[in-house]
Amino acid sequence: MSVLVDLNIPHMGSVENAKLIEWRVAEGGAFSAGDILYEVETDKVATEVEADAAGILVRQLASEGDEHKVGDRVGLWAPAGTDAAAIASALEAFGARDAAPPVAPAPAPASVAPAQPIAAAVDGEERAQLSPLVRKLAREHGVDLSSLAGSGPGGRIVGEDVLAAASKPAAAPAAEGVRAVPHSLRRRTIAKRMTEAAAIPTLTADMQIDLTALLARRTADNADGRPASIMAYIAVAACSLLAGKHGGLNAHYTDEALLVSEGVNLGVAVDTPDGLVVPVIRDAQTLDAAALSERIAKAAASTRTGDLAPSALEGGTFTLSNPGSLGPVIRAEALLVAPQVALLGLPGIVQAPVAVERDGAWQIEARPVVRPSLTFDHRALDGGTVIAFLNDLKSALESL
Amino acid sequence: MADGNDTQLMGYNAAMGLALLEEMRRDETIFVLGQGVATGGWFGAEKGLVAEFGTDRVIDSGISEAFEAGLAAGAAIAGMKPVVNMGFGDFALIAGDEIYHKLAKWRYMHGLDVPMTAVIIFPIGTMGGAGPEHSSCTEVLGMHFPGLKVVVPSSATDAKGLMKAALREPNPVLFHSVQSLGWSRGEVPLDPEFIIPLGQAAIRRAGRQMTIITYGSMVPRAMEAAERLAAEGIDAEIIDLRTLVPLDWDTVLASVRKTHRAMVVHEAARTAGPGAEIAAQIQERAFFDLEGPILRVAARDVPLPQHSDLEAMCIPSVDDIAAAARKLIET
Amino acid sequence: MTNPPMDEALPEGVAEEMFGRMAVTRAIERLMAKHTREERFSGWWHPGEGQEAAGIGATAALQRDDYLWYQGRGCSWAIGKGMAPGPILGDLLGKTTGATGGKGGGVPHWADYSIGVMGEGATLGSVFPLAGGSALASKIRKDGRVSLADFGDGTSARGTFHETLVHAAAWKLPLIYFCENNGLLVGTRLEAVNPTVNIADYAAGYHIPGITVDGQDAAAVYAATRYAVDRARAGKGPTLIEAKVVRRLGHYAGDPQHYRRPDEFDDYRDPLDVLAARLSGNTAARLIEEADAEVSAAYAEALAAPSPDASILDRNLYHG
Repeated sequence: MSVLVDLNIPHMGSVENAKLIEWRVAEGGAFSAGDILYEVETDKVATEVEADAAGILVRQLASEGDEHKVGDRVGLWAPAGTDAAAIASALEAFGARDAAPPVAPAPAPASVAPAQPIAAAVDGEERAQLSPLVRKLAREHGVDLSSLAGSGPGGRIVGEDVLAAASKPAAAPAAEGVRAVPHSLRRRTIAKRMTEAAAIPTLTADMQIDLTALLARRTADNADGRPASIMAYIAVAACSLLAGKHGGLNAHYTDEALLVSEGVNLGVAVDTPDGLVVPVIRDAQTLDAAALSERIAKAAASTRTGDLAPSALEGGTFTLSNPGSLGPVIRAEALLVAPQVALLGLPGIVQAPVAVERDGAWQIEARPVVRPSLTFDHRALDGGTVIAFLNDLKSALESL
Repeated sequence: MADGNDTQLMGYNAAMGLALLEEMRRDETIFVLGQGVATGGWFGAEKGLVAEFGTDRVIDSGISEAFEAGLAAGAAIAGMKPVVNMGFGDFALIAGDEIYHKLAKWRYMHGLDVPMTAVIIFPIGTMGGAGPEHSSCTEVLGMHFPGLKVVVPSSATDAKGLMKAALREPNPVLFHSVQSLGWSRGEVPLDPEFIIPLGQAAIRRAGRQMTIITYGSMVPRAMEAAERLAAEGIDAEIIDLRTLVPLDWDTVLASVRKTHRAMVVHEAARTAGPGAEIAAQIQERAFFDLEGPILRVAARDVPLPQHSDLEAMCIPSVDDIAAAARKLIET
Repeated sequence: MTNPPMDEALPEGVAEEMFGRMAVTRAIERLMAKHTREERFSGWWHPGEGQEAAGIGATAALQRDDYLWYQGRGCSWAIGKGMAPGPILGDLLGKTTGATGGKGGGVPHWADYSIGVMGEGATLGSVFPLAGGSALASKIRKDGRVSLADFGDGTSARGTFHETLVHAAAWKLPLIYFCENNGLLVGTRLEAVNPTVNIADYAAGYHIPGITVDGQDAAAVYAATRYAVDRARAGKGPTLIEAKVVRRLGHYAGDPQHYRRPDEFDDYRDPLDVLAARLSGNTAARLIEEADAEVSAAYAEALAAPSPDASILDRNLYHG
């Protein structure tokens, strides 16, 4: 039995694709338990893979930048204390540097002339190896053939290769004054998710909430040593309703049924330099404003530093988006985080002229006001349901 | 009384004969002529006809191929519907003027828009040792002299259906019956209105990776090759042309645009055979859909030797077809 | 070989009818001789001057629906069977008024099935199996029609002459083989390539009657053809008629005819003159004048008619 142990990319929630970004331990280097072996980027998050135990990274089998799937073997390691000679002989048995996973070698084809590998470089002499189909598809899709490797007989570029390249975002040659920014895995995933979300029939209902009472409450709590963000108070009120009479908004839509969740796993949209990330706070309805405020802050921080565990992105049942924290946006409509049926967006808080009744007469006063938008999946929810929720939210917040 | 779905197991030549019987019953202007037809025909296609129609309409001729073919033209011009069995496709060359000038060109030369029905039966291809002057595949000639229609049935059912179509066609038809399929059997529809229209190819096997265009004796061989290829993971589509003039280009081109690879298989010799025209038109009309060159699998360019073992070496085998298909995938 | 006994009498009016058609034929011949000298002509015109009595005399003995398969020179057969000068000249000049719509040229392909003019194949000898085919059709249908195959002496060497005649004789097809023997194959004398100069000699080998007639005499030709027609309609089978004719001009218009003997035409008898002797008064002169007028008018019309455009190229390839 070999002393070498396979180093496989660990499963991380529901992700499939994992790109190896950077080795943190050199080949032959030693590591301790908890040391970071390599960094990997998935559909949802970039993360670091830690060693479970002490050992030596005997062989790196994957290169930085390679695209893999979770579970793929990327290296070989030996536990600390393994005999060096044993390691050496095991390596020898393992075979050449770029050996495939051990399988029976394929029988050599009998008396077949070796196929001429087709150089990836496409110049006049190689033109004859490009089939008419390839040239047509390259023309139609604007694919630069000189950048392609071929999967056809003898390494020839075939139609499928061109189509595959066309479906990937091309590293287009930059025009004068234009810089091409290649898409990261996350950006591509966001694009895909957004496109799917845009297909859902949604509507958005807006409501105006007077924050005078909330701000007074916040001041009092702060003074009591329980600081909380405005967003947190709104979140607490919303979660209470979602866990109670407005459970229909705390659900996933499927063709067969509406999956209503008991607890509110609150997704909080966080804007990062690399795109939108939505960490999830499980059972948020159990938290008060201070606790929720702290959790939200921590989640946002982790997201920005990249410390977020992949499981922290799973299982959201309702999402809260706060673009108002970034600037005085007037409206906060958003695309749903499918399959969730509702999302509450908070725009900027403004001092607005509000009509107030005093002594039987109407007067205009300046009041702190927020006009949240509730975007909802119209397959699952109707306007009445949503407006009822917003009404209750307004009442709750205006009577804090 | 046959209903629409009745079929009967019968041979290819017998199916031709059944078509003749049915059509001669419904149309008294049809008559059959050729060497030995009144004695049932050399290859059995005319069996039983003289018993029903007599020697007025089932007429033995002497060894006069030019006369037989020219007579077909003259009788057709005079309003009859002659069926002349020339005995062997090779004899088309003896009757060349009569078939490829007179039959093909008469109406065009004389500016006549009139129907002219004549079916010339040419048994073609090898039959196991008949030699170079009794085994030729001459169907390409009908493609080169405009004014004729050309069919090559690959099965008993198609032999019946196409013969009936030919006898209802207002233009001369060269009916190339395939010698090596003469006794091949199939479930042939008994419905007297079962007709296979001219100009319609049949997709015998649907596939995704390549298109094999073939007809006649090579259809069963191509089908067998496709089974072997399927086991190797190569999925071939097989088109049986059935009619060479007019050729069903729509079916052929749609298939090639789908599979991007094409090859033509026929028993006729390679150089300037029907495959040459088919390959030329495919690359003219679907060049930018092709992943590779169009291959042809055909008989060797030699007069076919008389010994049946040598003869078999000269015409495409199942192995030859499969090997060409593999080459097509690997190119 | 002696001829079988035949009725030589010419029924009332036939001579005049024949002369009228012969005059039209000759007018066209003279016209074409002039036209091919003075105008551009597509192809080569094969003049039939001197041989008119063969075509005129034979067709006079045929019925309207009898099948005529002609080959060779001039236009006596088509005119004799009832075609008008208009479609004949139209085709020769390549105009849309021609019988083929303008495709015709030196080798005529005039056809009109309604009067039994079945057309011409340009390969000499194709006429035999075609005529055999229509004769067989008549036999099967029992329609009483006769098929006549017109050919030249040289064409009798074709295999199709023999292939068709053995079957026609065996099956007693209603078929007439009519040979216009002018003794020349373009410029080759018949005796250089044939064991006999008497084509009628072949008849004995097929066990059918062979008739030799003076091809310059339309009445004699008529009688011989009538005999053969009666025989065929009676179901007695084919007859071989050999008409000795004189080809007065070259094989084609423009042929320098170096092969001619100096005394070749010393005994020449113009078929118009031979037939005119049977007409009284100035009938012949009148008919010639009428013929010339008719042909002149038809010629003018043909000259004025349009030529076909390219759309004719794809016509008549297939029916339906």
